[in-house]
Amino acid sequence: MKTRAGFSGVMLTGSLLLAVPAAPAAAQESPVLLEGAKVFTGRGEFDDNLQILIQGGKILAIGKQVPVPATDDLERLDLSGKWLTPGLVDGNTSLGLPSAHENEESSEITPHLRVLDAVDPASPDFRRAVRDGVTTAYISPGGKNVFGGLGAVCKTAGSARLLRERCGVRMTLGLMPSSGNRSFRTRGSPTSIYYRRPTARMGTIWEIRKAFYDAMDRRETRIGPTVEPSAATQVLIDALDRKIDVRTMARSDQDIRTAVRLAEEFGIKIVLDGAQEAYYALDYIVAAKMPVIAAPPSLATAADGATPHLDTLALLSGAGVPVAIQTGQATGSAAALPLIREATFAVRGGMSRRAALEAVTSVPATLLGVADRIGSLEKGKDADVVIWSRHPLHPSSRAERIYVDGIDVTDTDK
Amino acid sequence: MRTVLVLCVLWSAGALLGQDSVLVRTGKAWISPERTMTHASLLLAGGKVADLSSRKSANEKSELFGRAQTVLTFETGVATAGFVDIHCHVGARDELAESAESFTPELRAALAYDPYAPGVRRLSRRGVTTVLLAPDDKNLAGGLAAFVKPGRPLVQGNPDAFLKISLTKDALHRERRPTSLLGATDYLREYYDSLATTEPADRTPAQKAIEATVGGARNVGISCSNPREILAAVELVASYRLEGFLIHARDAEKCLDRIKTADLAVVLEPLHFDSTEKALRLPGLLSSRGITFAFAGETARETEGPRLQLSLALAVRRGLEAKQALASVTTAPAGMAGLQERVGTLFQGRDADVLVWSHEPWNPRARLLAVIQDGHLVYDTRKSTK
Repeated sequence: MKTRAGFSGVMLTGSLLLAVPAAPAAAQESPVLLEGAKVFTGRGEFDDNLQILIQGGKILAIGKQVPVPATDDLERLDLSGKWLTPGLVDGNTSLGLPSAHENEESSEITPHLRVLDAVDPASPDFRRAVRDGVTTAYISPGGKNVFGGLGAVCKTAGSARLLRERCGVRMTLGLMPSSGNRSFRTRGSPTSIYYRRPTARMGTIWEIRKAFYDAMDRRETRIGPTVEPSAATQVLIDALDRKIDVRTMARSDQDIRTAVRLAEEFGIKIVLDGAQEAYYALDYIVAAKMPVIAAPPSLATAADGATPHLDTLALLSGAGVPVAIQTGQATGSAAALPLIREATFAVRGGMSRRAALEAVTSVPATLLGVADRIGSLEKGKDADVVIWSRHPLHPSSRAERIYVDGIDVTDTDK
Repeated sequence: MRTVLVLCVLWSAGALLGQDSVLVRTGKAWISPERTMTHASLLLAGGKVADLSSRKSANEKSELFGRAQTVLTFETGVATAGFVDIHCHVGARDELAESAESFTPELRAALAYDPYAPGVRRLSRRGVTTVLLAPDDKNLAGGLAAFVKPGRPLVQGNPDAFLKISLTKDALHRERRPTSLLGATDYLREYYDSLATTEPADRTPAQKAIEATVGGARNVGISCSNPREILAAVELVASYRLEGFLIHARDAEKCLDRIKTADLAVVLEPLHFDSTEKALRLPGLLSSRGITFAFAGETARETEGPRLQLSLALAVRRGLEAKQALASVTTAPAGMAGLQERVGTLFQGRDADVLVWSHEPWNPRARLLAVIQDGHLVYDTRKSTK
């Protein structure tokens, strides 16, 4: 028998690599100088005449006149008339998952499940995201469970894609966790063994509070020195200790207010997801200093009977709430537009262009805890760059060239 | 006509019954995929290959001649070891899954084996003399596969072969755990991790069955199809230092590096005339990357021809090396099942499972001339001599 330490050690190393089927492209060796474009660095406004020097997958220098290395193999890219932004960051997706809402439905409380176990890195989803200029995405378990599992932050191309594992645990308020809790055969007879909580919004909150209270119990009274909490309980304890964010799907007004109350009650760190009716609960959100990863503003309908308004993002950012935009987990007719088009819609709803661009670059990078690597163009950060045909928020802008880790991934098919 | 043939077969089988030694003389023999012998004489006794030698010419009698009670001569025939089917469901009358629960690693397929089940005998007449009767894909951990010789009674001493795990959609059910791939990997991890917190004396039979696979003492066969299932299997194998093989793995070409790094073998579905380009290309790809693979899944259906033989023909036609093709139905599956000392080759001391073909087995015109299983002639198109 192996010791427990041996087990967890092996598991960690095994899980830290997200496999990539294609042969890893060789790290870009010769330096590339991008010059002439209008540059958005992730914060502020577009700036003319910024030069960016990239090499070895990182940004070596950025400035008006960067020191150019005296090597023969320097590649100079004249980008006059083009617009340049950091690679976009999508705050919530289901890229590479078998279904839009991937959940283990045999239990409602599955906070320890790792979404990475079900991600197919070869999925065409990633390729599609890259073409839309999205170079980093948060991948989340679905919303059919009260606690769905642990999300992860991944790049959409390249050979080392995993940026952050165990990034936020998915919690869902509202009616969606009620799905699948009645028997398939007897159409809702409460005597069936498949009938279980929650089947209503109140039941969902009951499940959440019970899970957190059980975790608090478990944290404070240990059962003997050798027994450790279950993996599920450990995640909830980490959430209570604010070591892990609680990504809370809350669409309607009352669910947003509930999220704020839960954050106060348990001292957990909640990041709101969706928040279509944030315009009703604006004061609450501002007072709780709760960041929002907003639903795609182009969608005119939402689950749970929430009524989306086009100006929600504008209101939130105007009130100083950190706002990121997501394309979300909906598919089919309810699917979102490409991320940059959703930002265009946010501008249409009154958000400033600057805030809209920040909402798809630096803000989500910060909320996902990967701002040290991506989301803005600064010296030493990853060379994830998108070159646009015109102002990226213009409805006809196109991502013409995409670099991930300094490698041009625009046309690679793998 | 057929009746006469059947009678003839019965007679020759009867003639051999109770006899100890048979000499098989063929024009060529594949002792193993790496070693051939021309004008081979194989002496089979006590159910084993007792001796083998090469005659100088087709007509010369070998020194083994005097030691045999029966002599079978196939002057232009090609002898190979009997085929090994590593993942087969023929041989049980009912479903090979206990569907009340999805986690049943302790169940033994050996208990479901029926030597008289429909079609079992047809397997050996298609060249499959060894079968690993495996639980099917409907359970997450279905149970232990059984080593059987189709049509022959179960040998009680034979150990269970490998633990069958399934990460495919077949194992998911919306009314029990797991309902998703996320839940499936979690369920397996939960069991493997529970070993660390349970005293050996307190372990349930399921835990013991799981424990035997840690470190590779018992192989695991993991059904997986698309890349996310294959990667989940590879992760699992790496986490708990398991050894074994992937079953189906239709999208293996997208994960060759990971499969190679994890040192896993692959069990492929048989090829057929309607196989996709992807499936036809896969054996060559695996072989070029040095990944061991086997074909498995022979059928006993009368309306369908022998699948393994057709797979060899199609794979070789697509450029797979002949010896790789032969290995994929003999030594490779034998190795995966841990039976390399018993079956898969015709070295001295191995089980006397011999196929005699009219041509090389991957030649589309090849026909089986005789099948000997454990030294018993179970199929013969000729009369025995002497």
